[in-house]
Amino acid sequence: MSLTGKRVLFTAVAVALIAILVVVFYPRDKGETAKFTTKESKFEVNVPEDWKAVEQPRVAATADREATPDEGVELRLKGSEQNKVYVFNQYSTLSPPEETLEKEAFTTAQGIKGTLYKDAANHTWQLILDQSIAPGFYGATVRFEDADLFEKNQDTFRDILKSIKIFKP
Amino acid sequence: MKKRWGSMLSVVLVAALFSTSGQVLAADPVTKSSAEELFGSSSRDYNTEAYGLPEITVPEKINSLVLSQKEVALEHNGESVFVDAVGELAEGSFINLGQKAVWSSDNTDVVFADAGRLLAIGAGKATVTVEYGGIKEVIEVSVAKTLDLQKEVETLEATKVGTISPFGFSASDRTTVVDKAKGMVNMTWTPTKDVRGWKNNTTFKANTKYTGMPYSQTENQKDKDGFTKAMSATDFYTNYTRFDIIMPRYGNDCSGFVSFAWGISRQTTSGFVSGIQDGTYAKVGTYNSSTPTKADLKAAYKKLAAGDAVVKSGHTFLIASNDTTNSKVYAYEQTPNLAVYTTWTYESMGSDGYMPYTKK
Repeated sequence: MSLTGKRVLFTAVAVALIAILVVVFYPRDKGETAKFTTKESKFEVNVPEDWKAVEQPRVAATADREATPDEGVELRLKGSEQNKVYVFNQYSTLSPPEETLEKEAFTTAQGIKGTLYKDAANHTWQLILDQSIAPGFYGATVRFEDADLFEKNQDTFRDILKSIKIFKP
Repeated sequence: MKKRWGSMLSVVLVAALFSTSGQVLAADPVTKSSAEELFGSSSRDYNTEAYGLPEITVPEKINSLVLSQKEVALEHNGESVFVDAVGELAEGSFINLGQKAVWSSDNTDVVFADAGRLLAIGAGKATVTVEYGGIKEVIEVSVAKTLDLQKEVETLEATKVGTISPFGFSASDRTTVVDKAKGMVNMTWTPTKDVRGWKNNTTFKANTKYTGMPYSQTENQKDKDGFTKAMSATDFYTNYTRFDIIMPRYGNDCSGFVSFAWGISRQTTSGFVSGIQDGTYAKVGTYNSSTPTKADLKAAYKKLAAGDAVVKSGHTFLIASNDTTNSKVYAYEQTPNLAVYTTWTYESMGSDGYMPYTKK
């Protein structure tokens, strides 16, 4: 093979390698960020692909009806929307669930500490974050009706909870 | 060698300078106020970028880690002590790593450790490990006894017998109110079938004992006796949805809780706020009920007594005792999922705009 031929071959191989690397490592769309901002709450959470975010604003108190104590965003698994993760800010103190549940120390990517309570039998997780970070009390609940989906999505739950970012409103 | 000893002496001196050792906090369950003490101010402790503050660079490696205390003896649960962890940097300067080091306890039933605060949970012994940059140091902790904190409140209140609040109702009425609230917080109940909690966020499981009234916003608001009776009702375990929200069929919301404790008809926080403004309820202290300032509210909180309450549109809770020395209140609070015993500092109540008020 001539020198020019070798150069052409080398260039072609290099281009092919670069193309493969680009295909393999190109950052994929890993979902969107849901931003929830009201007068009293401000936070962000990642919404994975195949999930959708539904805002749950607080209902104000009236003479006949008490305010909903919490407001936030429900992340629902598309196609089976009764399976959801609810990230919220609540007026009143968050009370931990029963002591018998499995407990895990949890820290968000932002560095906010909390406790994750796992109720495998009821396909439920409850996260209570440090209760002094901003006005109100922040937490999240994973609630799945489908046991198989609950098992399959545990890494996704963890990613969602890790991604919670809280700001001063 | 001399240089090494000199360096170590410097570390100890710096540790002494940073030290807050011996600072013991009053009994305090882990709630909003204690979390504030635990973690300090929010803008300092978390991702500073999120709050628009400059990032503090902390080196990954240190030469040594020095703790201000290696042995800690706490009297009872609820007490805290702060221990400083000081790192000597490679260049011979020092940095307080209390917030950055990893704190862990080998027995969280005895002591909880985080960010330099050791919070006593119950009697016993435990070892707390502090780790940074691969260097570990330990603190031996002992907690002498476990106290009933609620009894402590009662004792605190007993010292106030004979003192007359200038606001609202009589001392005997206050006792009735507090007993009623205490009953709703301390009540235990064991469902025989599963009951779905507020917003279906939790399940009260069959044959599991729970303490406290469940949170609900149905028309079936109940006090302790009413709830106990309702447990025999045929519809107690039937799923219930109101305002498109799944919730227990029987229970209380925050204003229902205060209404029951005060022995008045069911109010909402909106009604309480307008009632303060139109004189239906008495203000505790002096503040403008339309536009209260934080300073006025904090001054007013000093006047709170057991049986009074605080409210903002959307939430209210009842005062169990007022610790004016430490500027905090013990409270009975109806919250999802269950009514609980909590503490709030004047600072946190003032920041959230809670107005102190009482029954006339």
